[in-house]
Amino acid sequence: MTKLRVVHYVNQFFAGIGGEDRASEPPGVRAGVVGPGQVLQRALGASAEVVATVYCGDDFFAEHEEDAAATVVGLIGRHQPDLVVAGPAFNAGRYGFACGRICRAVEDILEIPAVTGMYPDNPAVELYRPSLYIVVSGPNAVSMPATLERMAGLGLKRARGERLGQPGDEGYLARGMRFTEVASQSAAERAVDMLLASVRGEAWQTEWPLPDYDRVSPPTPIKDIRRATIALVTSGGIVPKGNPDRIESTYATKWKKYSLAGVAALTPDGWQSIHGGYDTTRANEDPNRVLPVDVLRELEAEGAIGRLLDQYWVFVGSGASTTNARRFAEQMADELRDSSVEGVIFTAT
Amino acid sequence: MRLELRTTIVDDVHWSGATRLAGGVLEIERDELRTLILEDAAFEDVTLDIVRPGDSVRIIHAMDAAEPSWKSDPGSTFPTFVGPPRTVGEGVTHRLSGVAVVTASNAVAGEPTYWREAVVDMTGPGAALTAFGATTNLVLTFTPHPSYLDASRPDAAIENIMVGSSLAQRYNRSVRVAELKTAAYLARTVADRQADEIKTYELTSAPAGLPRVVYFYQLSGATVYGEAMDGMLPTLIHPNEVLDGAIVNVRSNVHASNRTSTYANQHHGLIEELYARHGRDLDFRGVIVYPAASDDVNEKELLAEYAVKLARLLGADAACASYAGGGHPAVEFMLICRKCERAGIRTVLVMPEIYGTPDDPGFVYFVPEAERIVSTGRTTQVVDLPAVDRVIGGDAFFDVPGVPAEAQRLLYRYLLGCGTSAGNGRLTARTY
Repeated sequence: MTKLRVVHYVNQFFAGIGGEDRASEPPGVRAGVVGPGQVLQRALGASAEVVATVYCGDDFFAEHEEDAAATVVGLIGRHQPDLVVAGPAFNAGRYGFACGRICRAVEDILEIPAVTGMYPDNPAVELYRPSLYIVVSGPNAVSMPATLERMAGLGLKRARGERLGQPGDEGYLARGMRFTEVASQSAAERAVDMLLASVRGEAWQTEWPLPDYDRVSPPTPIKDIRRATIALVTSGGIVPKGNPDRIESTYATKWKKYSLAGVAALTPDGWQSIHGGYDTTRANEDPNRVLPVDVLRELEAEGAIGRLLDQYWVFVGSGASTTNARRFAEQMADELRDSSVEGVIFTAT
Repeated sequence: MRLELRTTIVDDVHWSGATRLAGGVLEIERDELRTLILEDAAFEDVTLDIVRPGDSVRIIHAMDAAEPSWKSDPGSTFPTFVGPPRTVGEGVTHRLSGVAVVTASNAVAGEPTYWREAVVDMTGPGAALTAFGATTNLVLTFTPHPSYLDASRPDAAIENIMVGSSLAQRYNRSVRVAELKTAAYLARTVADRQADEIKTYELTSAPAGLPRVVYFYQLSGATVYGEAMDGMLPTLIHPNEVLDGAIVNVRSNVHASNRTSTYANQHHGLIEELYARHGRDLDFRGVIVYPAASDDVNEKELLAEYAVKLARLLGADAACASYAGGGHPAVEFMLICRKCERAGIRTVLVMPEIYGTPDDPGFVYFVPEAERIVSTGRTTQVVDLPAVDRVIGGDAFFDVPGVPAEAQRLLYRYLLGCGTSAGNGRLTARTY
């Protein structure tokens, strides 16, 4: 069996170039192992070889992130690795961000697995945790051997396409991905066990941790509503009749924007709801019930609002993932900002 | 209430000249059964198939399933569907184990198909995920009478997309009646026979000091004694009644993975488990059933208040609660959890994960009190299923691309009963 090829990324300090005084060192490469790479090589064993060590000064990387990442990935790619190991960065912020950025770029551009290691409080963890395998390290290099041992184990499994165990067992930070598995007991047995443990004051663990959602702080009030341009956004699935862009009825992956120019009110002949999560009968009888164009046109005519923006944004909330929903929100918010509206009425169902 | 379940173990099922049990083999007279089913003018025809575990067979368009069951007095076999409206859960019930009657049909006019597809594989990884991969199944595939396909009829109009046209609702009920008549017809063969196993269910008084546990059972697409509970307040039911045919699935518009079939009620996981530990580890006080899908916030609050009030009347200090799936039902489900915890009733929630992608936190709605959750699996994960020699139940999937006989990469969502919150299955989900 041919040996797996591994490239190790370290900062200028672990590359043996120097400390803070050499943090501006541009990217470079050395053949084989350097510094902690020896420990990594021992942990990888005979089935894999560290063929090169790529390094960069922490300040250089932070100050030229785009270019430095491109250069580093280029240097890594030249050695045709099967796996990239970055760090561990412990609790070092700049080093952590560099390791995260490089691992992301390696996985996206070179399409090979990458593994890094960080202390859970490293500021780069929050940014990279959802999309990278980050092995848990201690705050400083005292934990180097144990961390590299786990990084090597996890990296080999990934390079071989083997199934990974649970985060706690493998020593990496949970990315928050939920995967279905077959348990050894029925759900009913597990439920009653959990209930009795809880009542008896024994240890129990939920199978599905509650999420920690962002809180959105309300903006300042509109100064003069009589002059304000108001836009409509809906998750209620109101689209032109026939759903020309085939927005999904549930688990939506896209949103659309449609014109309201010259539309005094929505009519059942021209508009419909394609939402898959509520009874759309009443919405289809009168689509204004979900997207209140009729009332806003009246308010516009009365001068109660400045004007209704001549376009609206629509998606379907039914089962939409929060990842997609966040992306929809960011994209729609950009467009809303560009269309200089002062207020948005968001109708849900 | 004392229920004696007398079980006869069936090793195989064959067509024969007479319907009877002979040496562990259930023999069925096909024509007699066909005639019984076709008494209902809703059906133009019915195709009967026997499929066994390991067969290279895929059942599609599955609607419901039931275990053959027959009840002499007191009570009634599947009350209001087969027998008269009498209370069940006491007396003697005869069952055939190892057999399921599975129903399948194309959709009729005004029957929404978005939630409708339900697949049962008799071989491969799909078979291991459902109870019906381990039973010998008598599959009834119905051809509706042409009048049920006439979309121009006034009663084919969809008033409510969640339940479909009144025509579709009638048809679904007819399918259940045929299914349960068949189940009763088969189990009646053992009414005078010595059972292989006898199990007794009775909520005997438990020693003081054990946690007093109730079960909140959220229904979706099911009836209690033939009554849909829509718009009703929560009510009490004895666990024996659930096991003895009082709760029947009547709507196929529930994702297959979460659909609690009539069979799954007859073998209700949480009820069986609470019973198994009654008197030893806990004091099982009863079951509170309530409808899902009220869409009014005040009704949700009231429903949750009322359900928790019933639990307090039963003296509960602990509870299990199961979630039927869907958006609206998540709200009252979570409100019950909150109100229980605030009333000092510890709760464990049993629920499928119904969101779209693995990186989604996955809750339609939650309360911070929902600290103890048992997952019955993320239903939007795919499972690879092999090609099969034979497909029963229909020709093409509803709303799923691909040819049914070919190898499939299907969402768990489409596998009948694999993740029901009755807790029968072993699926879970873990965070990676």
